[in-house]
This record gives sequence, structure tokens and C-alpha cells, in this order.
Amino acid sequence: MNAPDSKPFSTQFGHLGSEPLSIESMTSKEYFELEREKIFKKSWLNVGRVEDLPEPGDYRVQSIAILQSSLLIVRGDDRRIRAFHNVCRHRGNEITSGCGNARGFSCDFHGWTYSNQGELAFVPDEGQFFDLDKSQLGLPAVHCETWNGFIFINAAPKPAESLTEYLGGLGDQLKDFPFDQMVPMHTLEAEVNANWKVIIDAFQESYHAGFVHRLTAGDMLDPDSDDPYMHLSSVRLFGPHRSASVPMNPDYVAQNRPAEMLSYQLASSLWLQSGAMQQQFMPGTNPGNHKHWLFDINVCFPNFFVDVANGWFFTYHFWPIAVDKTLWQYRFYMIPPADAGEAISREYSKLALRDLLREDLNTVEATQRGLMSGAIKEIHLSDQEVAVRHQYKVVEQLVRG
Amino acid sequence: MSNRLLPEPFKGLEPFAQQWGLEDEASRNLKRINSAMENLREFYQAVLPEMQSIVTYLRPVPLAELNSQQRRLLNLAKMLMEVAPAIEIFNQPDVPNSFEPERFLILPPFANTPAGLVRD
Repeated sequence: MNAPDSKPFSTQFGHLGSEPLSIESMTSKEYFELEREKIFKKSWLNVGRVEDLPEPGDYRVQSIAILQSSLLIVRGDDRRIRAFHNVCRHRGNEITSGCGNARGFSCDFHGWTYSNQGELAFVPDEGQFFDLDKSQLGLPAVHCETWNGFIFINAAPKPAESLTEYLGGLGDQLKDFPFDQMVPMHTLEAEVNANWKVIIDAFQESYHAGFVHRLTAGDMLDPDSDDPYMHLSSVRLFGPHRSASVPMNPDYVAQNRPAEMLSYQLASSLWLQSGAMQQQFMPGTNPGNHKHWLFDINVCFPNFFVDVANGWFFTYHFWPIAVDKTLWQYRFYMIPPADAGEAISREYSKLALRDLLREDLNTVEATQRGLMSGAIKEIHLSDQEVAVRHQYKVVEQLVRG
Repeated sequence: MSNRLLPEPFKGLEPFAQQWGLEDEASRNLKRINSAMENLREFYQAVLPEMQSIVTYLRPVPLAELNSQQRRLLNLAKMLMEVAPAIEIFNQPDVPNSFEPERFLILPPFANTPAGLVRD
């Protein structure tokens, strides 16, 4: 437990420094363009899970503004998942949209047809072309690898490292978490008027909980305890990635909240009490083996989170659109309910987190407005905001490097 | 066959079944945030005391095999969970100081979205 005046993370991660940080990277259009070229076009980016495309021929198109690309992600007849630019080799038209199941894709413009493995299979009136080598004219491929059921793409012509190498220690920490035993409960999505990093910051520190979430989660903080601000229990840095463990208040009871209490009685896989009600922590969680543990924040650089707890995990994607606009997406996964009691219980977990997220998103837009006003030039971070500091250091190194 | 929407033991909740026993989360949330506190409280006070009985009644039935009345009852119980924070925490229908609900999409697990996941 951190004493109020202790600063363990600045000691542990001294190389990150302790100085105020410039806000330029949160407000500058030029900086945003550098991030596009030097970070997003070179990093492994998550585009979902293998369960999203279970059958051969299952596909979906994902437009990624920061890559200025529309990608076709498809499970081929050989069951392998691939990613392609959604661009016809003939004259560059986008070949498909939306999602579904297909043996192949036919361009609406002139009918060039590709298999679901990306090969150019048919060219109408082929004899009119000149020395066309169809074997060389498959859909333009994008590097695509999977890790533990998560599908990643990399838009670089030649990625600097494999996905496993890229994930490094973060992948090692999470490798045994039972992702494949859980199912998505819902998806939440919003276009948020804030810089992608400013939004990420709101989800990688616990300092804000007692303020932004004073109604929804304020009772989880115990002002009379030796941890009144819900200090992070431990933090790990893995190259550009980071992980932080969030504690729970062991004395938390949902006073005067009978429906919330009922949700805890009906199932054990609940968000607030997941740590308390389990003697055993799931593999891939709580690496610091903290006694009063709620969940781990796991940030996969640059724009993907996999936060894990006992019996659930959620993902965030932060897709930059402009320097002050981001497509935010959240997906919540739990062990599927075995009966109606668990279904009712999970409903509460699901919507309690949902309502709390709307508090966060409201705050980040107000933060961005404040930053854009030009009133301040730098921000001041506490030891508890070490993950925030780490993000800006990593980004700066890549953008200026 | 009766015209009841709920199983017989829960006929007392029948007046709420049509309007509150909604099938998906987005509809339930919309109902909550567009309802007056007075109506939310009336629903909450009627359903909360029945929750244990609802769970006891539904628990033995596999979720995939619920008939339409049982499913409506389950949705009514989920609606109780949806309404609960308004009564127990916010003292108003929607989350105070929060991101506008019109801009916040609540989608089923697999949904066709700009960022996202897509499966029918």
C-alpha cells in the first residue's frame, strides 16, 4: 500500500522523468500527421477477434481513417484469416463494403472477381487486356497475424517485428488468460471530440475515480482507509506497452442499493466484486498478486486496451480521425451466463460499467476544449499518472526519432 | 392459451410487461432515460420485491429454451437492473454530467459499425 507521500513509480521508472509535459501532441495538426506516418502506419493494430469471423468466407470491411484505408478482413476457404486493402487491382475501386459471408468478391465497376483468399479469379473480357498476369494481381495484402484469438494488422510494407515480438512482455503476461471462454456482451461506440491520447489517458489512471465517478463508483473509495485515492497497486512497462493493477476496497458494500447487491448474490463474476469473491485469480491476471485486486489495465500500444479481471475482460479501441476527434469503441466480454440468475446479474455489471463510461467520455471532451483554448502549455502529472507519462514519452520518441 | 405476456405466477406484474419487458439493452436504456422518475419508481417498487421469485422460477430453465412468456419475464428483470441506478444512485433517469446519449451507441455483441465488428 502506498503511503500518501510515497512516489514508487518515479523510482521504479526513473527514466521517464518527472517534469511537466507539453500539450503540443494533443493539439497540433502537424503532430497528428507525424503520428499517422510514424506510429499508426508502422504498428500492429488490433481489428477484433477470430470469433468474429468463425466460418470460411466470413468477412468484414473496416475503414481506418488514420491509415487512410479501407481494409477487408476475411477468413478464407482454407480457414486462414487475412487482411487486404479493399481496392481492386484494375482501376482502384473499392470492391466491397459491410460484412457477411462470401466465396469471393466481385468489383461493381467492371466485375473483376477475387476469391476469399484474395486471388484474382476472373476478369471479364480478359482477352482485351495486354499481358495480364492474374497470379500477380491478387488483392493488395496487408500483414495480418493473430495472437491468442486477437487479429492484428500492420500497414507497413515490411513490419519491423512479428506480432509476438511486438507484444513482448505484455503478451507474456496475458498469454494464459482464458479469452476463448468468454463471449461479447455488448459493444459501445462513440465519436468523441478529443485527441486519441487524451481519451486513453482517462482510462489508464485511477486518480480520477473519486471525482469523475463519485456517484457511480465513489463508494468504492474508502476515505478513512490508508488508500483513500485508490492508488495503483503496481505498474509494469513493456517497451511501448504498459500494464497497471487497480485495487478494490475490500470493505465495499453497495449500501442502499438492493438491486446492485442482488446482482452480487446471483453470480460471482461481477465487476466490482470479482476480486473479492474469488479465492483464485484467473491466469493472466493480477501479476503482482495483490490481495485486494479489482482488475488490470493493459494498454497495447498505440490504441488498444485489454483490461482483464476474474471472469470478464473488456477491450477499448481508440481510432484517431483528426487531432481532436476519435472513434472510441468498447467491447465487454464475460463467461456466458449459465442461467437466468447469472444473466440478470451480468446485466447489472454490463450497464454499471456502461453508465460509468459516459462519465469518462464527457470529461475527456471538456479536457480537449481546455487544451485547445491555448490557456496552458503543459500538464503536471503525479506519480499515480505514470502510465499517462509513459504514453507521451513513447509517442514523442517515435514521432521525433 | 391466455393472452398473458408473463407466466401465471407473475400475473401481478402484467401491467408492466408490455412497456417495460423490452428485448434489447438499447431499448431498455432508452426507456429509462425517457421515463419520469415517478414512473421509474413505480416500476422499481413493483418488480424489486419479486426479483428473488423471478430468479427462482427461471433458473431451472435453460436460457436457450425460455418460452416467450419466460423470456418477457427475464427482460422485465433485466429492466429492473437498468432502472436501478436511476433510483439507487442518480436520483434522476440518466447519468448526471455524462456524454450525450444520442451520440453513444449501445450495440449488440456483433454489430456492423464503422469501427467494428460485424456479424449478422
